[in-house]
Amino acid sequence: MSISRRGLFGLAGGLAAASVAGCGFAPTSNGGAANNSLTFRWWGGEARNKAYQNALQIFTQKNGTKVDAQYSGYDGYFNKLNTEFAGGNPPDLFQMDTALVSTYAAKGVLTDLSQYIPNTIHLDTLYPAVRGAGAVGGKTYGVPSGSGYAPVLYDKTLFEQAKIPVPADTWTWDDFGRIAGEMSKALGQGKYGALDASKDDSGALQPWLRQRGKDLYNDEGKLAFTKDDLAEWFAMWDKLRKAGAICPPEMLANTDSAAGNHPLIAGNIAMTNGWGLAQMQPLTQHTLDIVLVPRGSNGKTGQALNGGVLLCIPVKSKNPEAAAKLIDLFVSDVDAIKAMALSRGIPPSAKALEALAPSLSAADKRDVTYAQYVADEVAKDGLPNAPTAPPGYNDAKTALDAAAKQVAFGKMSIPDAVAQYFRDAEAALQGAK
Amino acid sequence: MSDDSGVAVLDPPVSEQAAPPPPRRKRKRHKHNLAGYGFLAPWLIGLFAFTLIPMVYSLYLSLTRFNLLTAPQWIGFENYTRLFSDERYLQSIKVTLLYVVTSVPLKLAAALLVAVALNRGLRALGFYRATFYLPSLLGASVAVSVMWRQIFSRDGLVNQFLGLFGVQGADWIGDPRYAMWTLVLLSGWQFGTPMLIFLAGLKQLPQDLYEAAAIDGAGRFTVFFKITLPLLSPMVFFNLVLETINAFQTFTPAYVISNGLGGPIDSTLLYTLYLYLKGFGSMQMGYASAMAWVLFAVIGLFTAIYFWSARKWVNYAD
Repeated sequence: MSISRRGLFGLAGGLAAASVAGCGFAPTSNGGAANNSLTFRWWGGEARNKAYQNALQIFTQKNGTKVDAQYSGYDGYFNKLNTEFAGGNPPDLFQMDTALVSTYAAKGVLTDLSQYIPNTIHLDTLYPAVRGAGAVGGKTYGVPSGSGYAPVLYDKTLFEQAKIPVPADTWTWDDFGRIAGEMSKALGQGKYGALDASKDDSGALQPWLRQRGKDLYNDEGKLAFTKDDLAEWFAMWDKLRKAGAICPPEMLANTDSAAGNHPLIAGNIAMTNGWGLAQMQPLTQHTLDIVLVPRGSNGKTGQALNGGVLLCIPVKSKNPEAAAKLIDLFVSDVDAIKAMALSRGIPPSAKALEALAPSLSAADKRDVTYAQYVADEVAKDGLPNAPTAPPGYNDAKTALDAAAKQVAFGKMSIPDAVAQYFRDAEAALQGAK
Repeated sequence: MSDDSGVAVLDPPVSEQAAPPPPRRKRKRHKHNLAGYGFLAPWLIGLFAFTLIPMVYSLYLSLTRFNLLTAPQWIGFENYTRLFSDERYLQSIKVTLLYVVTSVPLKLAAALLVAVALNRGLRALGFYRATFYLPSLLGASVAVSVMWRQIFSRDGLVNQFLGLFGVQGADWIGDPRYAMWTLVLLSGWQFGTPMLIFLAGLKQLPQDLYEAAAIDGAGRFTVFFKITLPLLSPMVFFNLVLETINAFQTFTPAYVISNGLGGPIDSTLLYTLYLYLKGFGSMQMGYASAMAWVLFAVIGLFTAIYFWSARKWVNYAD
């Protein structure tokens, strides 16, 4: 048996036609089923995955819409998402990093959710401070599913061993330096009072700037502080570094994830910015606790509440109405809120906390009451809400990390590092527009 | 070295190949070829679908601004001109060159040393061979890099060992002076593949030369440098080319050991790591594509230089 060249081409042509036809049919069949199903993608740990799935079951029971749940860890999440966006086939609803929402919104791939508010999505149930967490240029592209703030996490056991009083809610940056120095001395060689947080934008620099009536970024997506501010910031940490109150820069290698080799868990430092109890407490036998970031001399906390994570609907979502309903389930459905409890972060509404109150454990209660306290203190600050992180935020964050470490390692003078940061960060913010 | 030495790819080209067939026979050959291509098809389809077409597409992308989410915009050679005013890019080149010129010689030296040691008629040779090859099997895997990170971390194995002698070891991973050398060491430890190739080469060396050398009373070092090394030079060449290409493309260890950031202060920012950060982190896929093509050109250049210099120091037996 032989296949002539013409025969071969005929066969190939037939195959091509079949596959083209396949392409033609596929979306139609999906479209037909669309009203009844929905793909929802998120990243999270085991607790969040379970919590979301419980909520999705409730959603299916109430609306009859099946949800195809797709979840993974944070690593590679956005790579995969980007590939799907590039291929024109994104999920119908997905979880978004608060810091990245404006980057995606600027590319025009997210649905403006204003059309679903307030009829489908009851945004006004949420705390006023987090309602705008997903707002970019006056439009709402994402709705927060939790609330977050960046406290100072400390090792209570180490403080007790050193017989030094733990930081009070009213502490200032001067107190921070003093306590860190005392702890360094008490803990002995190779151990330090606090982590060097000069590189931490949202956990340390932002509240410090807001205490002075400034912020990281303004509404136009430009830097909202001056070179002098940053030079003063670096100088403050440099002084603490030279006094041995904070850790040397070599110790910063393991500070990007909540793991056993984080210096706080390894017992090498007593305080760190930027981490909460929920991630770190399970990793150690020591008792940990949280306290507000040190206050400014005017008593302001400067804390910025953020939306934890956001839920967003791509423009190419095949079922945006059902996706909007699912968003509202997270926001205002009491059954779903009870099913998820705190495993998705602290729900950002009084309604949700009221519903949960009777069933919380003692540790959870500490988390919730402190969050409530922080929310009250933030309200007392009377500061404008922090603008959403602008497009190019990721690169600007990297630039701060780089400049701060150049100073910490003694490779650059403070003025040089400040100049480098402003050059790189401004280029990143400009280039992302 | 003869044609069946396992390095046939590198045999001197053109001059030694059979002369092209006379034109009259071409048609007939063509028919034979068709069947050949038929059998090759599974591989060819893979080559086109997963290598050549993506390569051509990335060449196009390198001339555009492409953020993955919206359509690429043509900008000509802007990505290429921007490269050389990007300080982090220049830093990544510095780091990568340092890595290549240190890790490749270290790895080849380790491979040759162990190969020579194993070639002396050991009992249980197979066992040792497998043992020394094991690290390379685990090679570029994430697990090994994670383990390396643990070994060299502040409270890791190395520092605990040094502690036995009362020495407080440095923070090998966290200190920019040392972080790079942990990567070089990791690469050197994975010498299994070049070692096997050296071992295969050593087994084929003609014994008469060694006998003659023994009669002449040549010492061990003389024998090694005057006989073994020159005869083994095609293997050295082969390994050098492959390992250089591999070293330029190293990604996983730097990614894992620096938590994906190339730190501390960009001291482990290998080329491909920066490329990844630009492409997927900053969503500048056009820029990242341009970087990939520059790397392609640089690897090509290095390989060309090797081949050019090979005439001077590689001895083929024939």
